Amino acid sequence: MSSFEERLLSALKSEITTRTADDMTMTSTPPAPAGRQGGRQGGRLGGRLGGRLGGRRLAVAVAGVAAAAATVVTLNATVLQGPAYAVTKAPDGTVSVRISAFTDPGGLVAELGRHGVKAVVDYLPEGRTCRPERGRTGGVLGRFGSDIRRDGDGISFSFTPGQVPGRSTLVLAVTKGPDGDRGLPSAISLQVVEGEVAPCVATSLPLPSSGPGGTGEGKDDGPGVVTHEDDGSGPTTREDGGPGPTTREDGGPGLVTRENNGSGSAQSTG
Amino acid sequence: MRLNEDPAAFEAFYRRHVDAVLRFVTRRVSDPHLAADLTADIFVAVLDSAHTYVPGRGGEAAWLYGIARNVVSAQYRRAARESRAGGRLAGRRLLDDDDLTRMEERIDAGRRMRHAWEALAGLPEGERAVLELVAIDQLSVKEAAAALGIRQVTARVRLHRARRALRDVASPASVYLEGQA
Repeated sequence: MSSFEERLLSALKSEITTRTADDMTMTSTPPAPAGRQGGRQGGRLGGRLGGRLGGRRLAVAVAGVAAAAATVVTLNATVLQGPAYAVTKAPDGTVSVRISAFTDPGGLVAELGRHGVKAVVDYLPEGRTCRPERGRTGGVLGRFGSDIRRDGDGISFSFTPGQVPGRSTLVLAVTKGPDGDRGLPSAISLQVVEGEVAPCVATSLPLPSSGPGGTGEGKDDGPGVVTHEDDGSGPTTREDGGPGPTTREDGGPGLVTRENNGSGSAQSTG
Repeated sequence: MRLNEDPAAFEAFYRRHVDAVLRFVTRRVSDPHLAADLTADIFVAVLDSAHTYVPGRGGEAAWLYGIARNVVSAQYRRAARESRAGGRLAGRRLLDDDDLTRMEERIDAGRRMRHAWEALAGLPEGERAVLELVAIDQLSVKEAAAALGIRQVTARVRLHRARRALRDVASPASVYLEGQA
């Protein structure tokens, strides 16, 4: 092959690496269908193809290599500090989750998916949480979530497959603490929702002294842990016709990830 | 693993087909820089569409030809656009002088085919598409049908009609095509 063909091949392989890294970064916009986008996330690639194919142009070879190098630096930093999360499955089916850094919710959702668990994960800045109404409370056993415990500077919890049955989704919302991504969180909300999961609607985390009023029917179970039990109060599905349906990522069983930047949710509060 | 996820798999695919893609492109455009751009575009489109490839359905060549056709026709639909330089990149910037020479050689070799391809312009779209792949790109009818997503029977009918239509057009290009098809 001539040098053009070899250079083009290198540029294309860098493109694959870039795209793979992109997929691991969470974004606040739904992923565009492949082949139709006019340019992903601020035009990492110059130019555009437009038309029927959408798609992107490769960056000029030199720039492409530079972009790939920058991506590698980011990944290495993560590797040096240790993985953000770990999911293991015991022979009896119990799934254990350890989260040591509150970054990459998308990765955690994907990893849970690989273990057969549907999940929605939101990491929120200090002082913010999701409103507790995320959908119909599911899960067979009541006090689910009471097993959340601190694990170093992160958290761990585990559950049996029966606690998150097929149609249900594990919904995790973490409020980061003063130490940010790699510090102890201020608050954790863990619940199981049956059927459709409403997107996170960010709201202020009530101070412990003001009681549980701002979090609906949640109970405050001790410092920083809010659990939602199936107390038989009936479905909490949103009736306002709001943006309920979750965005579907390619190939995933209904996984949604989102990071809330604290500037408020885009969804209607009905 | 999919082509857009596994660089090794993609590289193998690329090496199998890059030559054919260059021939495909140089049979259709006479500018070496445009040819380089389109080649790059086609393989980017391969990454974009990797999830649509179903192994076994007509083979990867047919799938790739379908993509290549779309890229080139999109290019021609945009042909009215004035500025080529703005926003277009990659392919042409990867050409050094030797590459340019080599690309021009390919274009030269594809000249006859290019004239023939232009002669097809008057045909109805469906018939042109089949004849183009069979006569210019030397695909079998079966492969052409797979590339276009039509049944083989349909492809044969259209091919027959296209040949008949060309018979009425007395030009060296069409005569050449008749011989090829």
